[in-house]
Amino acid sequence: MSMDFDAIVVGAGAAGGIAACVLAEAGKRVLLVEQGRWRSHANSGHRDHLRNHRLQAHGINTGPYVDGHPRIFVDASGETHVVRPHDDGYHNNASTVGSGTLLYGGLAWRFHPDDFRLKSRYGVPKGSSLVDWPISYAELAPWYERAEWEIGVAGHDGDTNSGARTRGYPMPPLPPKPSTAKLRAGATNLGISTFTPPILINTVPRDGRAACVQCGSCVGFPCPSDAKNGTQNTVIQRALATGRCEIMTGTVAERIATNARGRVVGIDLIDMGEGNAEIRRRITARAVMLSAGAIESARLLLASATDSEPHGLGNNRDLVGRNLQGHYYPTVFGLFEDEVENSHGPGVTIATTDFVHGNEGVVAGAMLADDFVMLPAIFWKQALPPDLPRFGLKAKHFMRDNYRRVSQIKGPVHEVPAPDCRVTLDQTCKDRFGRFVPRLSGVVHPETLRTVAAMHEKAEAWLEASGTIRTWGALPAPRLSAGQHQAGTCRMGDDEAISVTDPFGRVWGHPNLFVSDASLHPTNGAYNPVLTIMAMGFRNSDNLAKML
Amino acid sequence: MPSATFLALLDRIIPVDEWPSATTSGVDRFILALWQSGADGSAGSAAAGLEELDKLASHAGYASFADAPEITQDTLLEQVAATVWFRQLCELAAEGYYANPGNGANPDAISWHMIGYKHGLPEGPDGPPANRSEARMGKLWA
Ligand SMILES: Cc1cc2nc3c(=O)[nH]c(=O)nc-3n(C[C@H](O)[C@H](O)[C@H](O)COP(=O)(O)OP(=O)(O)OC[C@H]3O[C@@H](n4cnc5c(N)ncnc54)[C@H](O)[C@@H]3O)c2cc1C
Ligand code: SF4
Repeated sequence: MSMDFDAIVVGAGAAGGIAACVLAEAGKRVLLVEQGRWRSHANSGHRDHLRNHRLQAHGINTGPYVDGHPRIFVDASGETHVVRPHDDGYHNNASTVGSGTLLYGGLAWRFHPDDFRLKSRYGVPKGSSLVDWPISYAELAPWYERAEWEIGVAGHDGDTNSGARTRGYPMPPLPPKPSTAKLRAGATNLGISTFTPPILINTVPRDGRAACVQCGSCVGFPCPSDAKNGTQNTVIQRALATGRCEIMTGTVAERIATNARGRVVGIDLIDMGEGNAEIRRRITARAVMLSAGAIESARLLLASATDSEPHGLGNNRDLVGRNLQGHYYPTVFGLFEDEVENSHGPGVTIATTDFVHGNEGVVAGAMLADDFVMLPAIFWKQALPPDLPRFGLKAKHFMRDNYRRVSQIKGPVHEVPAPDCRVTLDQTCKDRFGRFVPRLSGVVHPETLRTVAAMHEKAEAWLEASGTIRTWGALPAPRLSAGQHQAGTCRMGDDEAISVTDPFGRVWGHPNLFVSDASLHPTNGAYNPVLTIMAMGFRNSDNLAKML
Repeated sequence: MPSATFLALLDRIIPVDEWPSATTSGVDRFILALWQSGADGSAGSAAAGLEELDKLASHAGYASFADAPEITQDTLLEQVAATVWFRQLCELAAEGYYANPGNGANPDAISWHMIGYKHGLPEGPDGPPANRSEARMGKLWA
């Protein structure tokens, strides 16, 4: 391998894959480092309904491997647990080239213009660290458009609440399913506006790959027709095609390498190799970009202390790892008289953004939509009415009669960040490489729970207006929020005193160290976050390319 | 050798009707495999629970739970319905019964025919084969 890199990008997920592409196409020499491996439907598409990134009952389908990669999780009662990647408290996303973008459902939302200015619109609730984004929707809009066209989104201009758009989507929207018309009619009765949600899936052949074949197991698995547009089959391929990007898979960034003056010079890597041979080496570069996800990017900064920054790079103000957030998902199920579900993936067909803002008495809100096709085992675990016995013919007959009659409405609540929700380095527990592991602690801000309750009511009312026989769904309990939508741990900002990076993701005090992933989000929007992570990925790496 | 009580209980958790019962569908083997591999830690509490169930049956005048008529079994079962071990066993039974056939139960994905779930995959209900070097305890399997 050649060693003269302009930039090292750590993590080949949503933002990291984009950074590799933008930098390499701008003529820079890039090393893309990914702890996971190349995966596809052929080598990782096995449909284990109990071990996947949607239901992790006894394992997962990408990584990290169950043994050797623990985290410490402090639950809401303050009890400490050692957790493995498939355990709830781990807050795993995925570990593979593409990360979650290989497996996701691919809901492709732009945040609402007011999602970028929550503090200005609502004020700062007590105990929260709520801030505005340092950039506006208008500033991000052209980059959203790039993400929509270069990664590939199917959709239509039906969202009457969205910020201004200058261009449509490259592909037509998803088809409806039997429940769609009923939910649309129910929404119309209530005066709620609806449309087909945008999605990062080929609804028609595009980019040399086929269209979705509507299999019955979408989210959580690689796609049988390679119709899901992730970074692994789009921008990372483009990056490699330039000849200027090298990718090292099965390779862990152990720490950020610094010189005697504390200046970043590269990355210390552990190449896991075959078997258990671990090869450690330092690779130098002019710039380092962390795109390891909100938990692991913070971990890397914390694990790279120097004499001048003894608590971690960029962490002299004790901000790295704080404000960890994700999305609470209030969910309501409704039983219909008719068969309304047909087990065709992806399964999301109708959404409203009417409740993203302007809800009486609460901060922000959520996009609400129906959901992805449910595996039977997931339906059993999540969708049964609370009063149904879990044994006997009653349970069996409910499954037999109603698997196709139950739909759901749910949505990601825009959370109010809390500084105590955080990633720190545990000082006792080490992973298989001898690295101290992330310790996750904190409980979501109470204002978030109030918004959750309000959105739950909206979802319930929508289902009830749509002709359901009955509805059910429990309100979620207070806990740490992160998971697959983890964000916020290295927030960007204009003010060095209250942010970890500048508005382009450059770590304050470090001219050549950047973060580009969901860690930067000051708040995480009332929508699934990945299109925003991608848009920011394009913007921030374009900026870095110009600087190098 | 699974105990008669274990098998009888599983077939009250998922009884036969026009579709197979739990044990006809291989759910007993699925659960025993999880217990043997250590992937699920509820074997001990289930064993204690099954003993308890046999005691309840003997109080009711039967040699064991398995010897009681189904209607009595269902009444006995109500007495343990709220216990943790029983709820965990119901959960495991449903996992086996409704998961893909590759997990060891649900042959021919018969429960999917029952509920109307269509896998829609070119390779069949399990999709492509699992990667054997990774489908192992400690790697992708817990
Ligand atoms: C099953 C599933 C469904 C989802 N569905 C949706 C959806 O419909 N819509 C949506 O908006 N979002 C969805 N998401 C979430 C979305 O995938 C994430 O928000 C997004 O991928 C996060 O981007 P990121 O760049 O912050 O980090 P990631 O994409 O997670 O990338 C981080 C990468 O860094 C690697 N890494 C971490 N540490 C190291 C290290 N030390 N050395 C080397 N490599 C490292 C990881 O292995 C990973 O590949 C889904 C996620 C999953 C798993
Ligand atoms: S539903 Fe479509 S996009 Fe999703 S995995 Fe199946 S074929 Fe791929």
